[in-house]
Amino acid sequence: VILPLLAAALLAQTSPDPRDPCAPVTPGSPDPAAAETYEAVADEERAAGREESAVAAYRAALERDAGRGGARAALEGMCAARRREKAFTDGLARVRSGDCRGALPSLDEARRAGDPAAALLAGVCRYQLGEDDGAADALREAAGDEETRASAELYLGLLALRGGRPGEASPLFRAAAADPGLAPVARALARDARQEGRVVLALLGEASWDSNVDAAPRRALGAEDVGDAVGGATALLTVAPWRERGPYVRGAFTLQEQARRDAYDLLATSLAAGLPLGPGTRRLLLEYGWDLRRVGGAPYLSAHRLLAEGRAVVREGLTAGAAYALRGETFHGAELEDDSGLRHGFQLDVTAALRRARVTVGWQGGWNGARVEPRASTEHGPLLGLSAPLTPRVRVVLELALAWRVWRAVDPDLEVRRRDSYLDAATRLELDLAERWTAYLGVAGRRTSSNVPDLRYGRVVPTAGISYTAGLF
Amino acid sequence: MTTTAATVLAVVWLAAGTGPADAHVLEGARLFRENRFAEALVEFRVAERLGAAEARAYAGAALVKLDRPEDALELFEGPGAPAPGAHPLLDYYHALACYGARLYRCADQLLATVGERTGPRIAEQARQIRRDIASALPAEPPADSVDWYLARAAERAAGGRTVLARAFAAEARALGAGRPDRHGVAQAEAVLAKLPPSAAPLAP
Repeated sequence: VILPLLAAALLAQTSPDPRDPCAPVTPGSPDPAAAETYEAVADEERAAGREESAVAAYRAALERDAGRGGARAALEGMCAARRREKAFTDGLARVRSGDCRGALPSLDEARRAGDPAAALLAGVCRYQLGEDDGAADALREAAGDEETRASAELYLGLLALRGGRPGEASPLFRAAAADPGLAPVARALARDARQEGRVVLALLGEASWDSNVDAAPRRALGAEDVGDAVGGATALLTVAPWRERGPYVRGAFTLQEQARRDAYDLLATSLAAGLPLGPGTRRLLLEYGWDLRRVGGAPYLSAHRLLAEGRAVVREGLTAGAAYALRGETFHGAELEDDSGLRHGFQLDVTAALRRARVTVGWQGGWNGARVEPRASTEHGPLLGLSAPLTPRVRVVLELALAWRVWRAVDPDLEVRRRDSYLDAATRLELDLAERWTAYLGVAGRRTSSNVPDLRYGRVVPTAGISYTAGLF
Repeated sequence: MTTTAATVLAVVWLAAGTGPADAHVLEGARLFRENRFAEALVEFRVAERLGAAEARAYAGAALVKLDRPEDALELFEGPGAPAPGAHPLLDYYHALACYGARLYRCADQLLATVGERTGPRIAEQARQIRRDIASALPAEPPADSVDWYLARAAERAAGGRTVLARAFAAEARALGAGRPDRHGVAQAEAVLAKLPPSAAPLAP
């Protein structure tokens, strides 16, 4: 008798069920015996992992006997998990579409229901939105669960770093490095944290070979010995009482000694004071600096400079930056004085995080207002930068820049208005020896072209060096 | 619901037995017809608990609709299951459970028996599935495929799901027998020998 009905039923086509299985249960005719059977079936379905039918069976039990506490608790627990899952899924979808702020209500709802993954995602969103206090609360919740602890510690470390507490950040990064998936990033951040502080001291020593010290024309290469070995050392001290959230002063001292061509020995001193403004997502930096250079033991250049640089997060993993620099340069010596004057420079760039690499593409240019017109020029050209980790401790850096320079007037000696181009390329392999020690091998090169053949030259400078950076206080 | 289905429902409702188990079978059928498969499953399970043994296979059909082919297979081939051929529509759902669990030989065997007894629409669907299986199964099954079924059988046996273990081992044996080297056949037979017999055996 039943088979025809079942046949009709089994032939049915599938379509969505519009009923909400977690709506309030409407009591029906009391039937405690049936309710007991439904609850037994519900428990079996739940044990078999068939959540949908378990929910339906618990509802059926409660419709017949509202007093079944076990069924009610089980149903509420399963429905809470469903609501939490739905809220998390909604939030995740918004995060993936780039709407972190729009995701927060859903994520917070899931978080209130005890979902640590939602707490983690809410913390990351608030971190990206610059809401550090709210981010810290959410991330601390996520750190309480084993599954989300490592990621939460990583972001808590980033918060500490942004809040000027590198001492607090470093152990968080080291803890996050316990997760193999986060280890490369966490170790790098731990290293950075150890290199930050109110006072940062960096020491650098390097040895290099300059294939063309005095930029001799290309035809001279090989015809005479134009190369020389160079040894150099730099000390850099930064004092930032408010870390990256307040004014700072910085001093740098560089010494470069040529092996044979003492006339090119360099002594450079640079002092700067700066003020960063705005949150990390929209940063403006104003800086004043003074540079002094001596070459071959004689005064060469002194310059006052101003820098304004802005950078903003466009979306996750993408920033845009703009910088303007103004230098008042005074060259010393009869042959160089005419080069003195104001120099303007600009750079526009975007930087994107692509997987684990960081790529910068931009355009730079300048206007050199030397006091004597034939020495003045304008230039501009593209630039490309790439930085990528090869292993957790080794990074490769590649920089390329091309500039086209046009001189403002005819050179009286050459009797031609110069048009030059400069192609600069540099690559560097960096190896972290310890948290404060980094070794590097690099090679930089320049190739120029000019409408004056005698001014074309090439230059290659391989370098090996080691640096020590320590953050104090 | 169509008028015909409503009429059938009304007639069957009036003609059905008055026992509590039958009422749940009827309610399950009504819910199934409305595509409310989770609730239908519950009703069939309740009916089974109340003594309606045939409700077990109907629950299997609901599990197929809920995309739980392995769970369904345990009901179609476990204790109390109807013998293959008893009802062509249940055989069809049994075949879908096999197909969903990637037990293609099992599915093909069952679909071969369905024929036209379920009506033209189901018969055509059965023919289409058989064509799909025929084009997907190579004449000489790869050894990797046989090993995959053997591994599944071992996993299910270790998890105490002996009905599934038997089904996967039987599939491995059938596939291995289609190879000149009979790869995995002895291993499959060894697994089958250790498992309790199937309640609803198919031809080896």
